[in-house]
Amino acid sequence: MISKPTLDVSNLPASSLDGETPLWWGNVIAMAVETTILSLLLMSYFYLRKNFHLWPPPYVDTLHPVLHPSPKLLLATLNTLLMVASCWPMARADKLARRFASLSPQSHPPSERERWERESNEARGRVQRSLTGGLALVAAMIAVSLLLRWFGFRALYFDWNDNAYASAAWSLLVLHFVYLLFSFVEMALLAVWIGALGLQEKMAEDLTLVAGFWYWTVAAWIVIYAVVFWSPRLMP
Amino acid sequence: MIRVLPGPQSPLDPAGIQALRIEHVWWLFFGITAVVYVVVVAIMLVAAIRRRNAPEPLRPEEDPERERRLIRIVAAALGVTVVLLLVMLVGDFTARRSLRSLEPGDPLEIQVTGHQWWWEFQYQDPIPSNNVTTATELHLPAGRPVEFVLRSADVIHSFWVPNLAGKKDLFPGRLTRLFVRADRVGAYTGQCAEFCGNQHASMRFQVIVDPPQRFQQWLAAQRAPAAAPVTAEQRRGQEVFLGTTCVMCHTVQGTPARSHVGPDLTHVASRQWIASGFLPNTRAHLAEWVADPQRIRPGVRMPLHPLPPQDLRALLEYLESLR
Amino acid sequence: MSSARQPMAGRERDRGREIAEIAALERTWDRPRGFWGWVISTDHKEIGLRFIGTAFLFFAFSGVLAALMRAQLARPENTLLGPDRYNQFFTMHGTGMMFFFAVPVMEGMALYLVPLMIGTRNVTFPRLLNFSYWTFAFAGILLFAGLFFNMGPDVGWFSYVPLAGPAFAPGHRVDLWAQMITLVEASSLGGAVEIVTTVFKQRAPGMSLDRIPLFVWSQVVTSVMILFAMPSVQLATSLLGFDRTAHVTTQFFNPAEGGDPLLWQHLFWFFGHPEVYIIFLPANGFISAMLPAFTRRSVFGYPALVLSNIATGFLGFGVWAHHMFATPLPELGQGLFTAASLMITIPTAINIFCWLATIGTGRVRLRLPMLFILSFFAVFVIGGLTGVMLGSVAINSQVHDTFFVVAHLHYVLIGGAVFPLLGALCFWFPKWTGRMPGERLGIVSFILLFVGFNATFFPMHLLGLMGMTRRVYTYIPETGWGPLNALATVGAGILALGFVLFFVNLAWSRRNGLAAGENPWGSDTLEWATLSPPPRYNFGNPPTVKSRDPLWLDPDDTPVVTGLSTEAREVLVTTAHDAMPHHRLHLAGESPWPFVTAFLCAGTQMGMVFRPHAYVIGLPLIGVALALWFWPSHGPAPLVVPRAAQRESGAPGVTT
Repeated sequence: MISKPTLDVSNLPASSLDGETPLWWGNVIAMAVETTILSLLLMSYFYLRKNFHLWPPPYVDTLHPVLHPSPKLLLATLNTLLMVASCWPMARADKLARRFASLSPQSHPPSERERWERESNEARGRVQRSLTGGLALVAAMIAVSLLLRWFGFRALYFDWNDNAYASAAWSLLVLHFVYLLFSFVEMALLAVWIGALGLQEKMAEDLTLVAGFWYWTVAAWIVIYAVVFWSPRLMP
Repeated sequence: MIRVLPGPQSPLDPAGIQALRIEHVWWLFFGITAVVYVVVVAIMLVAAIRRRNAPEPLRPEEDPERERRLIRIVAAALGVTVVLLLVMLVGDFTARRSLRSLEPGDPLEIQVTGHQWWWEFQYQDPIPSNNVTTATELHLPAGRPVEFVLRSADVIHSFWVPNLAGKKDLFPGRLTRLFVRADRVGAYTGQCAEFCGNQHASMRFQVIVDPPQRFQQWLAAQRAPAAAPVTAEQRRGQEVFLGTTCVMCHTVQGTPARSHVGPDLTHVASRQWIASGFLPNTRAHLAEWVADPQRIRPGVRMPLHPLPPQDLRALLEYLESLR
Repeated sequence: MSSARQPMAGRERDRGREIAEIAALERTWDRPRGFWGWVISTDHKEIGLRFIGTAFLFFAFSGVLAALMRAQLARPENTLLGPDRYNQFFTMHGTGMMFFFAVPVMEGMALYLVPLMIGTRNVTFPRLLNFSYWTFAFAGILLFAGLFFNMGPDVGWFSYVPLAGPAFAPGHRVDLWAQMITLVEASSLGGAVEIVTTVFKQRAPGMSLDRIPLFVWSQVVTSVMILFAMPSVQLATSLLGFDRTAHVTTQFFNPAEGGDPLLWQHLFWFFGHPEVYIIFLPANGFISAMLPAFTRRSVFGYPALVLSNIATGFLGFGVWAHHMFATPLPELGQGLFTAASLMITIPTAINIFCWLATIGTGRVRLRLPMLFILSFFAVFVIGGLTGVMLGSVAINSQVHDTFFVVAHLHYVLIGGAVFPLLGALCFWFPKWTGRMPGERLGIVSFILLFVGFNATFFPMHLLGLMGMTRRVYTYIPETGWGPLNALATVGAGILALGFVLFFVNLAWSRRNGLAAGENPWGSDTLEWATLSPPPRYNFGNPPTVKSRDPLWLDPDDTPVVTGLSTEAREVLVTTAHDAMPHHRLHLAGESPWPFVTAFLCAGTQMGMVFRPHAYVIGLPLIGVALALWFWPSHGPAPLVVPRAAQRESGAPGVTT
């Protein structure tokens, strides 16, 4: 095989942070799959709506029946604001991770590396600290969001097994609750890892992907919020 | 006209206008696809055998002229395909249009209820007390449009009489409709076409297309309450019927038996088939069925209830009197 | 190859370096020895073959069920099987063949062949690969085991509600089905992710989109279809599970509480019809991959074939409602679905015309795999044409849910997928084993298969037209269906014998076949450019390509890739469109946690069949296993004190 001309790739970097990495592709595919599931569930929600004269159906298992029991807005709206707000520290952490990668030794010619390492040592330390802090902040915000969501299930009036409306609305909320839980664990673990082990190239890459998934989770919530909390009000 | 695969349960032996229209579409599609198949396989065989094991160059020779010719040939074949598909599409649309135009203003309305695993038919009359309920045997007047209103008592079933029309599902929570005009007098078979559980296989029914006059006679006879028992044995049989579990599921008009879980037995002896079209209605079969339905159709809803032989004989005597 | 002009000493030195490199690659890519090493393997070839082998076990099992059903139907009012058992058998036959044979076996072929065909060393996410296999194996074993505990699902592979709902299917049969289907689809999704990322990111330099082998294209389209179809059935089975589970009892499909049985059918067939193409497209790829070897020319109409594959992928999602023409669907909808169902014929017709053109202008060699390709035309085209008939609402209303449809779908799936698959097994057998498949016994088995298949399934067309409905465990003599059923049963016996002989032949050839060498068929794609069987690292130096048929057309001075680490499992990542070298990627190695995660997933879902609260224990455990799976694998490389030595020590990091 040596007898053939060769294409030497040893000079290529060992990682990358753009849309050409397999992990980025994997992440996009995961989001596509989740989007499909969510869309199908949303379609099911509207499909079931055809079977009802009133949507949501009147809530009568109580001393004070409600003719139009549209889900209560307060907690869900607070939660929406919180999640949108969390995008800011997330975006900052994301940016820091990219900055960290741009400080990578590999982006410098070998002759300058040693000097560069001394100089950037401190800069990279700062990046790591504020990045860990940012991640922890996002994780804390998600924790609050989880609490709000937990108590927010009551906003629906019905139990999940009361009727098809309740089943559809509950399942949308529960599905998103699972995404939140997943994001929380992911962020917390990543914060712990970076805090304990130091920031590594590969973690920086992971962080950019986690950030992407978090934006997706926020967008998914906005859609679910609009459908579950506003569509019964706006399209009675 | 020569019929391929004639029979009492064949979509290719139409006895009604709907099935006839569909049959025309079938033969259109069949003709086109058969020709296409023969052509494709012929080309494949010729192509495969013609230059079989010819000496091979190490690398495929490049022959741009031949490739261009191939593009033209494939494009032409594709054009023909598209045209044939369009012909078939138009054929299907036309047929459906004409099927819809056959839905007339004043049909005879029959409600069909699918149960696990038998069929119930109710002939609607402007005077509700004149409604006629029967099971397993459907009588239709020749030449008169009929509208079936289909509903299910439990799971999804599908109403299908191949000689009369295509199938239509019976859907829990919804009403569906099917229009049929039977034109040829005769006896046909219907069967549930959607898997509906254990005894799906035996969920059959008999369709009898009568001349209008005979149909009216049949309907009038069905309207009458059940014949009163005449002989002592029949009276004893009625006592058995009303005194055992039979009465908990079945109706016999004119007696206290008024339950709608199982088929209406008011005129059971007039039917040609019992056990949801699985057994011809003979005394031997009736005895077998009443004595142990689970042996004949395992899993069926009718339970086994042992009767002493003389009771069974009396019961059969009574059932056979319900003409 | 042309090393003649090099000085002698240089050649000696190169030779020495080459041997050292190969030894290092062997060491680096080898997996742990022993049973545990086998369990946690991440080698795409090993896992691919394991997928294929396991899928064929389920095929055999489902096939036996089919044979028993044929025996039951051989004569009217037969009492071999009662309705309860028969219903379990036909449900498990359909479920087994569709979910546990057809999709996994095609994914197994893809997982084995795609990395070789695109010239890389392993798939992108090796641990996910291991996880996919074990979820598939666990789901299949548990579901088939259900049959022996009188827990075989009995409501059909389509599980229509309300028959499959809590009111009409008490007990755990349908719960088991719903949970295991959810699990096995996770496996399919994992495999699909592998294929898509590997193909788009790890192609040999120079393999731009218009040089990707047709087989790889069809697998990419298939995988993308899986990504959008499988979520639908997973959602459906999950909702069904919720409806059925005590304490949950949602009302999605309960008409009494505003639920809708028709919703189930939409969700199921939105997956169910694409499923047919998910099975058919890979087979389509087999044909395109085999034809060049047996016609001695590259396949005619590459762009047309690629585009028609993609078109099939799109249209496949637009025809699901033709399974529902008898239900209360709106008129207009029916018209659209008829048009779409006829339209999807066009890309398939393009495929067939292009292949016929290839055969017609090539120099045909009638070897064993080629016979299977030719039988594809004879058999599949019948299935395709009856499919056109089924697209017509009018005809569909008569033959839907009859044996006509049974005949149609077996002509499509056996003719369109299994025959090409058997051809493909013979074709790539030398690559897997280093030995040629026996030709003579192979041809005998082929003839038995062809005759047996047609004798079994052709009469079913006629039975359907005589009114015989599907899924009936028996029929009465008055129907007149007896003789044709008897013929079909005899045919099934011949077919079964053919399958047995086919595999006996392969087993025999594995030991006694002629030695194959690298490229016994003289084919054109990269998998033939390495040893048979390939080493764990696939290529000593990964290739680059300059054309669509690299082994035929690329000049001898086409470069090979050097500079990838021999000490770490490194692959070259190239750009998605042009396949230009972009960066080096360090692949994850073996880990016990994917297997443990799969085990815990299966355990949790099995637990939920019996105890709805099983997830309370299961989910946290799965979470822990996942965290360990993704735990950073190397020691700390804190950047506060970056030292050159740490950079050299290989790329550390979170692994996937």
